[in-house]
Amino acid sequence: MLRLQLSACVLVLFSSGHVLSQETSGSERVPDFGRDLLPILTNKCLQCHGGVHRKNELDLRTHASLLKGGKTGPAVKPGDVKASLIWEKVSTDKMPKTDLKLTAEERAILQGWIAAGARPPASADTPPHHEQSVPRKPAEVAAAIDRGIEEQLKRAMIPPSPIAADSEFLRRVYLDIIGRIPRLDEARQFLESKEPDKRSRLIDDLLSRPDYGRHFAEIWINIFNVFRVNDKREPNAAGFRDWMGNKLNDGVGWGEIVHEMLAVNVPSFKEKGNNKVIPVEAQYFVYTAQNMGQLDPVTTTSVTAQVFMGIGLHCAECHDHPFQDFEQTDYWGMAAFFGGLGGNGVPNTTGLSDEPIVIKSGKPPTMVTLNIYSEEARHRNTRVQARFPGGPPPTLDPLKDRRRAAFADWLLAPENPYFARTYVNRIWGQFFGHGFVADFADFNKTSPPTHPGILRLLASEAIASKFDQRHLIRCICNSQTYQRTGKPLPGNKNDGKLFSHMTGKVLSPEALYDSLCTVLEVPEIPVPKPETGKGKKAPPTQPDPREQFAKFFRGMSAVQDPTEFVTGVPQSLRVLNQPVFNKGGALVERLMKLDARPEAMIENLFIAAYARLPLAEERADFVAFARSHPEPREMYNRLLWALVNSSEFSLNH
Amino acid sequence: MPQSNETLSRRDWLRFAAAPALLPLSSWILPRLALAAPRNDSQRSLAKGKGCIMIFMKGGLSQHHTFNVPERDQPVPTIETSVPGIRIAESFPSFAKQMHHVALLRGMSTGNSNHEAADHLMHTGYLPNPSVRRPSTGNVASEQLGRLDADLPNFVYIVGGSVDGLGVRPHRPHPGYVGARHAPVTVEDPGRGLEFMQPGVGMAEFDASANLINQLNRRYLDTYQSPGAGSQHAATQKALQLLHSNKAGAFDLGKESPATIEAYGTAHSFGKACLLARRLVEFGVPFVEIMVNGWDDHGGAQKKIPGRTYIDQGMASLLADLHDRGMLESTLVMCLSEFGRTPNLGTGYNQSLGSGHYAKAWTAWMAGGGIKGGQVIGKTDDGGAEVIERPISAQEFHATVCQSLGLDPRKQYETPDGRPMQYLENSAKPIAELF
Repeated sequence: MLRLQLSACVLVLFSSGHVLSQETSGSERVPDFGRDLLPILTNKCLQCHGGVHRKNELDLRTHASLLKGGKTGPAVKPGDVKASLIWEKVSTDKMPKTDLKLTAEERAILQGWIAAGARPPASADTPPHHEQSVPRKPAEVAAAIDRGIEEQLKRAMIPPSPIAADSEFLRRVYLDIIGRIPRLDEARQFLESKEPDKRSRLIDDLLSRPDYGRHFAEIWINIFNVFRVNDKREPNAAGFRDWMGNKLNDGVGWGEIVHEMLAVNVPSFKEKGNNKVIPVEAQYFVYTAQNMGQLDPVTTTSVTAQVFMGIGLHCAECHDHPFQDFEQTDYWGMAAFFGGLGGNGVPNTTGLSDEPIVIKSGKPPTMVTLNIYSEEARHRNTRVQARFPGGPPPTLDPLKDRRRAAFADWLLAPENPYFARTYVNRIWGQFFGHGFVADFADFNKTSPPTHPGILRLLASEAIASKFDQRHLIRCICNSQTYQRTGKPLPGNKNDGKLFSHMTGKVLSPEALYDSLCTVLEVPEIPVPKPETGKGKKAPPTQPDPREQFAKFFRGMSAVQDPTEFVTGVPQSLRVLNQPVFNKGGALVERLMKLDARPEAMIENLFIAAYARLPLAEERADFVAFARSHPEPREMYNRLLWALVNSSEFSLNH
Repeated sequence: MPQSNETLSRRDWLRFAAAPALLPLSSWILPRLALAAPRNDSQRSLAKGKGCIMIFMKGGLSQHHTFNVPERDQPVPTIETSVPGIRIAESFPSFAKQMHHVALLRGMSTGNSNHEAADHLMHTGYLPNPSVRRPSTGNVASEQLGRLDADLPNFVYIVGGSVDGLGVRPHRPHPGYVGARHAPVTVEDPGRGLEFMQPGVGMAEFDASANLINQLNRRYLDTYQSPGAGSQHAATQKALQLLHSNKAGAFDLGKESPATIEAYGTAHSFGKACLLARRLVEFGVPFVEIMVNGWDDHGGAQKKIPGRTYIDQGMASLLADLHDRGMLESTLVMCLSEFGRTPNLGTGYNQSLGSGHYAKAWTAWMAGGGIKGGQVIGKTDDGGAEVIERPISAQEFHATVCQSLGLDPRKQYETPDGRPMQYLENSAKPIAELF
C-alpha cells in the first residue's frame, strides 16, 4: 500500500518538471538523496540544521552527516521508517518548527528513501571527465545532443516544436553568434539560397567574422561584472574586450585565456598604492573583483569559484555554508592561493601579488597559508593551508612558485571536475536562454542537471578540443534542438526546462544597439544632448555612443538572465522619441530609390527589421496605414519606427 | 550574493501583458483585466500616510557624526535643535530647525553588518534567502497603494548620487512575489528626470503609428508567448500612456521656480533628488526611494561628513517644503542606512569610532505620515555601543512604515511557484510611541 502511494506521487513529481537523469532511467524509481530529498531538506530544514545553525548538533547537509545525526543520535535508521528519528519529528509536525511543514508528497519521498535503505546520492551529477582525446565532428555531437534531448522529451511526453523556418533560424543565429540582426542584403541572400547545407555554412561564416570575438568577449565581461562589488566600472573595459575578442577570433582556447587572466601579473599593493593602476587586457578580470578600489584576494576567490567553477563557495567566507557541504576552511584554503604579500613576506588579504614568498628574517615557510579574517566564526584567526576546493594541498614551493599560476594549472587541467562543466553550461545557456543547471554560478546538489549526459558529452568535447569555443558553438548550433522554432505547441508551452522549443531571449543592450544601427543603416545612435544650459557643465569628454546606450539600457542591473526584459519606461521612451528613430535612417531613403512601390517597401522593411516577410495580416495593416498617409517618406519613417519599437525587434526567438 | 539582486522574474508579465493587446487600441489604458480586486477602502481610510519618500544612505551612515553623537569621546560638536533637549551634530543646522517634525530612532539594532545582507534586510525586512525573493517596501507600497492604471509609476527609484564618488553596489528593489509590474521606474539623474518625453511627430500621427506597434505585438505575443515579449510590450504601453498624460510634467524640475531649486540645493544631485521626490508625491506617486551612495566611510566619517552640507540642506528643505504645502501629514519621510558605524572599540582595523560597520546600535529617522515629531525613541549608552532603551528591529521598523502608510503587513501573497508568503512576520509590531 505504502509502495503504491509512493510511486504514484513520485510519478507526479517527475511529470511536473523534475527530470530523471538518464543514468537511472531504467532502474526503479526510488527517491534519491541528492535529487529528491536534499531539495526538501534545503527548503525546510537547513535553516536550523545546516552550516550556520546546527541545533542539537544536527547537520542535514550531507548524507553522511544526516546518518551521523545530532545529540539524540542518528536521524535515520536505514530501512526502518518508524524507528527513524527524523520521520518521527516530521510525521508528527514537531518539525519544522515554522509554519512550513512538509507536504504529503515530501513526506512520501522521505519515507520512501528511508524505506529503501537511506542510500547515498546517485552519481548522476558526478563531474564530467575527459573521455576522448580528439574532438568529434560537430555533426556527430549535434546528433548526440538531439538524441539526448528527444529521449527526455519522450519520457516526459512533451512534443518538440518543429524546426524553425529559415528566416527564424537566420535572425537567431546572427544575434547569437555575432550579436546583431542580419542586414537586408545578408538576409535576402540567405533566404534565397537553395544550398542544402546553407545553415551550417552560415554558422561557419559567422564564426569567422571579427564580430564573433567581440560579441563573446562582451558576454564574458558582462558575466564578470555581475559579480562586481563596486558599482563603478573600470574605464578600460574596451581594451579588455578587444584583447579577449582577438584571442577568441584567433582561435585561442578558453582555457588558455582563463589561465592568463588568473595568473596575470599585477603590481603589488606596495608598488602601486591603491587606486593608481589602470588595468590592461588580461589584468581586467582580477580588477572586476576589486573591493573598494583594492585588489582583493577574498573577492577574487568568490568570483573565481562562481564564474569558473560553478560553486557557491562565497557563502563559506564568513561561516560554513548553510546549505552545502563547504566549510569555512575550504573557502580560505582556496583564498590562500590569491593572497597578497604582507611586509613580512607572508600572504595576507591585502593586494594580489603573485610573486613567490620572500622571507626577510625568521624561518622560511614550508607551505602557503592564510589567516582567516572573519568577524563571526568558529574558525576566526585560524591559519589555513592553501588547498584546492574538494582536493588536496598543492605541491608548491612557497619560495619559488607562483601561487595563482599553480591554482590556474589545477583549474585548467583536463581532469579538473569544475571548469569544463561550468563553461559548457554557460555557453549552452547563452544559446538557449537557460542551462542544464539553472544557476550558472552554483551547481549545487539541490538542482541537478536536467540532462547530465549532454552536459558530460559537451564537457568532454570542450576538454578534447582544448576549449575551442568555436567547436562547441558548432556542435550546439548544428543541432536540431537549437534549430527548433520558438513557437510553442499546446503540448509544450509550459516546458521551460527540456528544450522542446526555443526560449525567447531579450537582446542584450549591445546587441540592441548594433541591431538598431544595422536596421537603420546609421553609423551610430547619438548620445542625447544634455537638456539646455542651466549651469550644467558639459562632460569633459563625450562618451562613446555605444557604451552610453548600453549603460542606459542596462540601468543599474547586471543582466544575467537572457530571458528577462529588465528595462522599463525610461528606455522605451528613448526608442519611441529619440529623433534618430523618427527619421528612417539611411534605409528608407535607399529603399525608396530601389523600389518605391508600397508592397516592395513594406516587404523590405520587414526583412530589414525581422529578417522575414510580412504575414498577410501585417501586410494589410501596413498597406492600410500607407494609403492613409499623404507623404510617403514620412509614412515609411513611421513604419520603420513601429517595427523597431515592437516586441519582436527586441527579442531573439 | 550579488546575483540575487538583479533580475526580475517576470513570468507573470505575460499573463498581465497579454490583456492590453486585446483592448481597443485607441485607449492607452493598461490592463483592467489584470487589476487586482478593489482594495479594501475602509482599511485605506484608516491610514494617515498616502505617500512615502525613503532616503537610503547606502554604505552605512555614521550615527556618531550625525544624529546620535555619543556623549563620551564626542567626535563632533553638537547643536541645539528646534526641540529643547534634542541635540545633533553641528553640521546639520538646517535639519536641526525641522526637529519638531522628526522622530529620531536611536535604538536601531538589526544584527547584520554585511553590506548586501543588511541592505536587503532594511529594504525587505528579511535577510537574503536563496529560496525566496522578497519585495522591498517600495514594491509592496506599489502593490498595496498604487493603481495599475495610473499614468505615473507607482514606485520611482531615484539615484541621488554618491557622497564620495565611490559606491557599494546597492540593493535594487526587487518586486519578488508581488509581481514585476511593481518594479520601480529608475531615474538615474534627478536633474534630467525622465527624458525623451517629446514625440517627434504630431500626436495624431504618433498614435496612428503606435497603433501598428500594438497590432504587431499582439500577434507576436500570441505566437511566441515569451515572458520577455510580455514585459517589453507592457513597458512600451506604460511609456505611451505617460506621453498622453497630463501628469507627464511630474518628472520635470524645470517647472519649479529657481528659488525652490536653489532652496533644495544644487551643489549635489541629492537636492534635486529631494525636490523631484516631492514633485512625484505631489502628483500622486505613492512611493519614492532616493538612494545616496558612498557612506561607507571606513575611517573617514570624522573628516568627510561635516563637508557634506548639501545633505543637511536637502533633507531640511524637503521637510519644510512638504510642511508648507500641507503635505507632510500625508507623506512619510524616512532616512535610514543598512547599518551604522562602530563606536570606539579600540585601535585595531575598523575598531575606531565611526570606521567599521555596526548594526547593533544605530540611528534612523522618520517624519510626517502621522508620525509624532520632536521626539527621540530609544537610547544608547554614553559611548553609543549598546542600545539601553527601546531597541528596534528591522521587522519593527517595517511594521511602523506599514502603520504610517496603511499597508497591510499580514497580507498574503503567493510566490510564482505557488508558495504562500506573508509580507511581514506576525510578531512584527509597529513602534506605538510614534503615533
